[in-house]
Amino acid sequence: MNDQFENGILTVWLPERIDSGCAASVEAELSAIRAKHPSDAVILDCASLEYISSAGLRVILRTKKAVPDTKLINVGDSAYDILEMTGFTEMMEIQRAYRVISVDGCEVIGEGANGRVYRIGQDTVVKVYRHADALPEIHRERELARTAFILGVPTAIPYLVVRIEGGGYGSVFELLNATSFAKLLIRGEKPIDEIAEMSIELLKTIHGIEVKPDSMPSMRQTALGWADYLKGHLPYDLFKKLRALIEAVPEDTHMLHGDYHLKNITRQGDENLVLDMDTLCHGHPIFELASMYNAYCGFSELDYDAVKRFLGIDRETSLAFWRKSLQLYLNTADEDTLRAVEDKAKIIGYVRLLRRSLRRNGLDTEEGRQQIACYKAHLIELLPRVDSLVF
Amino acid sequence: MATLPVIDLHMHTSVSDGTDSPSELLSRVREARIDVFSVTDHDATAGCEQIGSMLRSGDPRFLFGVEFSCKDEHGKYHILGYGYDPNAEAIRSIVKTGHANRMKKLGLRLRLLRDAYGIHFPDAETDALYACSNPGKPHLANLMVRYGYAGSVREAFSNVLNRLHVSDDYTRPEDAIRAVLASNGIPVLAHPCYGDGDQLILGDELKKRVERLCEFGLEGLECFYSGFTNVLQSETLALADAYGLYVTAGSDYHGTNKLIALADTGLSEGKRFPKGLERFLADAFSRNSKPVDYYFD
Repeated sequence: MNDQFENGILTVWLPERIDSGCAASVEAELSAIRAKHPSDAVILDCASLEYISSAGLRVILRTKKAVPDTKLINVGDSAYDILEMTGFTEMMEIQRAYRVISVDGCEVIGEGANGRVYRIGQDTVVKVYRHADALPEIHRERELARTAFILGVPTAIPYLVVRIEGGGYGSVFELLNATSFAKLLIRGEKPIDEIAEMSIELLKTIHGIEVKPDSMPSMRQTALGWADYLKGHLPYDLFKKLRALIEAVPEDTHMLHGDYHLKNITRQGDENLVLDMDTLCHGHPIFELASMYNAYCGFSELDYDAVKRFLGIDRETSLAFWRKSLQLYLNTADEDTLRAVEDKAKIIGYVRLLRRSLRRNGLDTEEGRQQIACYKAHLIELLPRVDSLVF
Repeated sequence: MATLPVIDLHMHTSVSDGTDSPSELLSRVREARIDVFSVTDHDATAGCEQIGSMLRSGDPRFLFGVEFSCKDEHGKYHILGYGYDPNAEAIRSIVKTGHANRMKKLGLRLRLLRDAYGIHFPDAETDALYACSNPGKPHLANLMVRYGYAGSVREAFSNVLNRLHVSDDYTRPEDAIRAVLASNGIPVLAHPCYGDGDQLILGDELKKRVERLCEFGLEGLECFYSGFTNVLQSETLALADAYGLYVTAGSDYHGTNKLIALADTGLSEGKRFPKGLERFLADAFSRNSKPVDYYFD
């Protein structure tokens, strides 16, 4: 068996088979390697392992007992099934071998901040993450999707993690004939009001669910972090007011999606599903409305084509969809009420956009400087006259 | 909570395929501060008899044991026998048959190695093999490595020994169970989820297997075993509970042949023993008129 000792971690490549005929010698060899490289962390690479009998399982178990920080990686499907059935997956870290797929030539059906979604089969899509080392992000999103599903959110749970040819990882979902709300709107298959109604009905379902506070991030805390980033970029009294306004929003344990827009809502048969669960959090609904305001209005304020590129709809439709959504969410057509809540949402929205531009070295480009000046101007206008972010 | 005894009811000496002689094993058991132990050589009771004669005052409690390799049309099993009368005709007879089967297989394997692979060992080595109580494939693999016929034990098994097909006369599980019962002992299914050690038997298949063996008189399951995860422990404990069976705990220690530590049974310190295990210890020892109630004060 090959081995590698690097940064205090011993990696050993297991053979093709471990059964009663060879378990003893595999174990003896493993012990000799461990004696040569004493280590507190052992990785057993199972890329070649095709068959493991119970004698092999016992070798793994004894290694785990000898070195508690032992994990298995690149475990194939059949070995993984055995390890899962026998409780090994509960007692140690076991990483599946990831199937490699290609997305070359596949239709891109969605794109968000974290990745791009391709259709890889009639009923199957893969979300390819932007970061090459997205595995923790993928597993986190899967856990959040599971949590949300159990709590009653209609969503698709990724059933497989794959490696993408050429680099990176993806999550595979089954989506039978699913069409995003953005597509429904673009194709004119349903009127804008009906799409807004379905969207808000689903949003209210999400907002009606209480979560354990430690199961997902608090949006209030996140927003405080955004505000802190602006210290020095806003007049000090306004910065203080901004912080006080966010601090005054009570902690709320109701679920928020965090990135709720037309491309993340999908119609599958008669059911509406919400996707992209990596932004799931909890908090007051003003934070959700702020994110929606950005998606439909704020983000494309200086570049009307941006919303076309993002959602596939023109800015006018996007603004109309936002206004209709806000009416439905607040269940009122009263313009003063709508404007007041929109102002509250805009404060959080522009804080986020301003931080985004600053973080992307916006001060170094003409376009960035324009964005920063625009978002700042909104905050300077809004902050003095808004006394509370809650509604 | 009172300190519970350290128990290991499954270990092997050089009488079968362990590497410690009975006296070496006894020393290790003393050093490991084990309170209750049993030696369970394959198809052999000689190791127990030797240890029984070496015990002195203050030693851990000792229970006679044995492990029979069994087979029938449904599969392979290892049946443990505990607390039997070593002089009973039933146990002596089945041990003799098991030993004869192993010797017959040794002869067949040596002949096949010679005829099919041209593998010869010096007479002194084959004499030593025949002098073992229960020589098996691991003994032959070690010799093949020593005499340069294989680069490693693994290679010896995969390239040669696992390809030798010798007609096997196995002990049937019902015969082993009945022999243990007839000798006033307790028959227990070893590592139930692992069959004869290299299978994986779970769920309905395991339940049916236990039901079938219970019809023959099986009285216990080895629910605590060095190779079991919590999931496997729970599955076998549930079965023991459902069928009112005794529960035992064993490491399957083999000395340096397998890297299993003595007393590694999965019984956690501080965890209360299951009733089935308490009953087993009380009943197994009461057959020898030595109560162990004090363990459970």
